[in-house]
Amino acid sequence: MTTILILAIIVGFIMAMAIGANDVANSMASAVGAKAITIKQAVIIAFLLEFAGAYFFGQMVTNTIRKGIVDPNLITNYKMLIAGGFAALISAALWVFLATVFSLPVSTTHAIVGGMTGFGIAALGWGAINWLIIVFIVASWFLSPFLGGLLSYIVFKIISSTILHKDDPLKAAKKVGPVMTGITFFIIMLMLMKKGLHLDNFFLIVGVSLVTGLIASIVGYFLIRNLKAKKENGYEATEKIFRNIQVITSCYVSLAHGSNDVANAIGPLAAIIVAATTQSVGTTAEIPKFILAIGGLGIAIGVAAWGHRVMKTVGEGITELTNTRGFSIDFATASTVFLASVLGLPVSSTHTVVGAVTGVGYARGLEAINVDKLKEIALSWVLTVPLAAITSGLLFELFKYWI
Amino acid sequence: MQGSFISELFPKHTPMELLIEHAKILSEVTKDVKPLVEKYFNHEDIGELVDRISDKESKADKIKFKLRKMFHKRIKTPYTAKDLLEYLHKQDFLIDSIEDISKKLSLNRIDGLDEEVQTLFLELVDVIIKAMGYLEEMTENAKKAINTSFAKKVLDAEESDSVRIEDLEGEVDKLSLKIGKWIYSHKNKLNPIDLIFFRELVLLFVEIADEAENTAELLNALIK
Repeated sequence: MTTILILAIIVGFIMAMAIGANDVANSMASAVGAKAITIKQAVIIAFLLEFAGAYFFGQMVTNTIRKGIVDPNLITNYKMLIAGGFAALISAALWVFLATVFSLPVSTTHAIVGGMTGFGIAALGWGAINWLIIVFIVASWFLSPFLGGLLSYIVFKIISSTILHKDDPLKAAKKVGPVMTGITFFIIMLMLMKKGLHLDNFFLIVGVSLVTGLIASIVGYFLIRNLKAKKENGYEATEKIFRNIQVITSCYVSLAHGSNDVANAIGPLAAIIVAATTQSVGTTAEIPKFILAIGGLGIAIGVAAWGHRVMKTVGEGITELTNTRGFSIDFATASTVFLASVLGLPVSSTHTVVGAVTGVGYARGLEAINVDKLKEIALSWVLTVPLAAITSGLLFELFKYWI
Repeated sequence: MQGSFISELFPKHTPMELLIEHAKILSEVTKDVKPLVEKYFNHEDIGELVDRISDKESKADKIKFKLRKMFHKRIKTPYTAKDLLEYLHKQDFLIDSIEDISKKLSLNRIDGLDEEVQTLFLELVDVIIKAMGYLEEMTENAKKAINTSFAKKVLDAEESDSVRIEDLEGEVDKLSLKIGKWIYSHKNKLNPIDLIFFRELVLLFVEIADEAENTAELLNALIK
């Protein structure tokens, strides 16, 4: 069993690193593309906050992957779960690897959900799959880009009407910017207290979150109040303010990404470890915190080791993203992914970014969006799940004889 | 390892960037017309300037093809592809017309154009240069309109530039009338072929001013 544990940790860790190398760059694309943060800063932010997001908020989604897709009551033999966990993990890792090498719009979330489903069908038949959960998950894949798009549309429209359409956009940005900062901090603190620290006192949670948001707003106000610009450069100065705010939202994105995507690596890993250590299916066993730490660390190392290469192409490739757009995209993406994490829904953060970009595009905020690429991404949604499921099913058939 | 496909969501060049590049060429070739006409009046060699304008026109054509090719793929922009291509077509017509003028000047030398008509003609060129400058500004403003989420201030600036171009078109009409009068008052003094040639040149400028006005109106309507 020790060999299996070591092997599982190695595969899970590699998967987490692959997520860090590929997905983080996608989720932080708007911040790097809008030059709000440098690649080095993005790597540092991602290193710290992806880990924090995974460690504090990763449990809910991990549980969904671990025991939500395949009905655990039907698994009678813990070895079956170990073989299935490996099959799902390796098939998903294969897809992430392909995505990383060929820059394919493959979602690791879709791959892992497909992988777990494939294992369940191969091991126990179609009836073993918790189809209601699958319906929720699949619905969230459509809902998350839509919600990301809707939110970014609304945020950008608010920025447009309260700042960009004003006679003195800089003066307006000095008022609205701190409010946006405060809202971002309020949401992060709310989620941290409720889901990270598992506090239940409603008034305490809301009260502390409000105070945090207020302090962030006041600090933000004092930091930008002396910013001056000639009237004709008001728009540039406004973008400069949002460049600073975007540093905060890129942290928010990292935190949200870590909270949701860590499950793609450690969901099956947790299933394997719990099964191997308890020698049972172990549905009631809690996920040991060290597994979340392994996933978080894997993502962080993946970002540090290879993420900068992918981010470099993002930084050079996106020239038209201004900071007000970048902020709208980041805020919408992070809020949607964070919400999904809290609900335990494994959504694709990358596809949520795509939805958020489209939302700003529909608000007439972007000079051009490649619609053909959107189609390609949508097609990948349909293809990834069955392909990962088939790969995982085949691998399970192979592994069940060895374990 | 390749890059992120998120960056592929954004085309390398946006249509507005290419249109601005195209408008800059229009502005440049128009500015070249002034020394060209001055040299022409002084009977100096204009070959180098004609070639330069021709080169720039070829450069503009390359941008035009790039932009058209861009729309072979489906891209979403705040302006419709049809409007942008129509705008490009009009702007390209202006560059072509400037090139036509430069080539036309190299075909025939006119003697006997007095200082009065030369001054009027150079004034005409100045007005056209001004109009093209505003057109370039308008194209840049159409991009700025997107960046500012169509702020009223920017839309008003676009409208003002459009009105200025309209006024300049009126000035071109007045100047062309004055030149026309000069031409017909010299029907017995100058070579008839030269007079027709000179009249055609003036009419080309009038046509450019008309088309500049139409282009400005299109751009103004496009961003609203």
